[in-house]
Amino acid sequence: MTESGGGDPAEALARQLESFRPDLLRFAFWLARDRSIAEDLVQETMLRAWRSRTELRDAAAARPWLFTIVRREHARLHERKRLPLVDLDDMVARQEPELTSGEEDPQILDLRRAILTLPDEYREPLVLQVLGGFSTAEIAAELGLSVSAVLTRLFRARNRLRDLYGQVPTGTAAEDAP
Amino acid sequence: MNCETARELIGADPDNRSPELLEHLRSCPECQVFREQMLALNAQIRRALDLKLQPRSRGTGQASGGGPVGATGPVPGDAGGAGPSAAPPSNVTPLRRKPAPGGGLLRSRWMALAASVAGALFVGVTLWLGRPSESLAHDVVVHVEGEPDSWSRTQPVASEDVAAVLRKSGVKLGAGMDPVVYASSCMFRGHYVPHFVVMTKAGPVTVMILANERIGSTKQFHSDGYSGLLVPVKAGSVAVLSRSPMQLDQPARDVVQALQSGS
Repeated sequence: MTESGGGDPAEALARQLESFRPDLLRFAFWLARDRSIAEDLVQETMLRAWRSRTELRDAAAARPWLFTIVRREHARLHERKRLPLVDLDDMVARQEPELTSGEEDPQILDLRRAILTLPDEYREPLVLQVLGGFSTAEIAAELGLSVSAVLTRLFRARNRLRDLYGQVPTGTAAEDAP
Repeated sequence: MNCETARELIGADPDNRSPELLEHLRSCPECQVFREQMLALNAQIRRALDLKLQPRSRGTGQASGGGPVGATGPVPGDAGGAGPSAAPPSNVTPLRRKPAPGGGLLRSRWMALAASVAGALFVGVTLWLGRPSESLAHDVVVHVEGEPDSWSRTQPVASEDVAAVLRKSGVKLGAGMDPVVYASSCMFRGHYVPHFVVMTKAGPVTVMILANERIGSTKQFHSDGYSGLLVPVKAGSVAVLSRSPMQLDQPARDVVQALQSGS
């Protein structure tokens, strides 16, 4: 990994990793839909990142690298579960304190609840794109999908949010995209 | 580029600036409006995702760690570190730490034993509570996997055949569902239940009306490539299943409404 500043490189890296913690926690929360699990995912991510720090050659790649670790940790967590069940109503109610943090606009709060109830297949690429800043090609590589499959999922995710959110564009909305 | 392709691209990536899309937008005011709306929605989504979560402080003695936290500098002694300078970020709490020597060791063992007992109790209670719905979802998936041909039907089933299936299961269904392309009265957990495949705009969706399976609330599940919902209804529950990621809320609502109007 290259360092742009002076001083102890390890300390600089530690500071850099730490600076990403809020972003990682947000990302982990939207993946796991549970604050406690998100905290643990980020904690484990920090440890793994630190132990694998020699793999990071470019400081600019640190953020997507960390997002990738969070995602893999989350996937690893679910590998052990044969048939995960999610009680949507309970889940939204349980995460209400996180959903209402720093926001009073009822529309945004509704949108947060709607995002939380999106199926994983739609929520994950959407969060990677909007929160992580990943391109569709990067998301495809990350999720092991084709670019067209990612585009479809992103389209459907927004379509669904638009429906749930009550925003209906005029014209011939492409409801039946592939 | 036509309007459909343009809107798919915009819906997937409202910030898309490909030359082909921009050229289409210049000549299509409707798609331009659609794009503005999707950009506005995207801004809202970005704002919604931007939760203001402050990392919780992790004090000593937590189950997941127990190390000193909140230190201003790197903490030496990381198990995977490479020396004094190879320390993790200050807030990183090692997940496993060596037990303290002497009395600390004994105390740690007692605490570990107590934690194990509590953990086992928790796991037992959780499994016991979660078992019915999980097992129901699993059984639905297994049943559907046993009838793979049901997904390939495309022609609507005659209304008399649908009525016969419903009659055999003692279920009444009103109007409102998408066309039924497969209808069978299947033995499921000791009862005959209607097993339909309805052709929605987004593709085929399996519907099973489970009058003898009560659940507390709506459950979402994913298993073996299937996505599904278990929805409680007045008498029992309804399972709605698809083989590819798609919105199941609407098909589920349609079935629930059809059941309500039929009763």
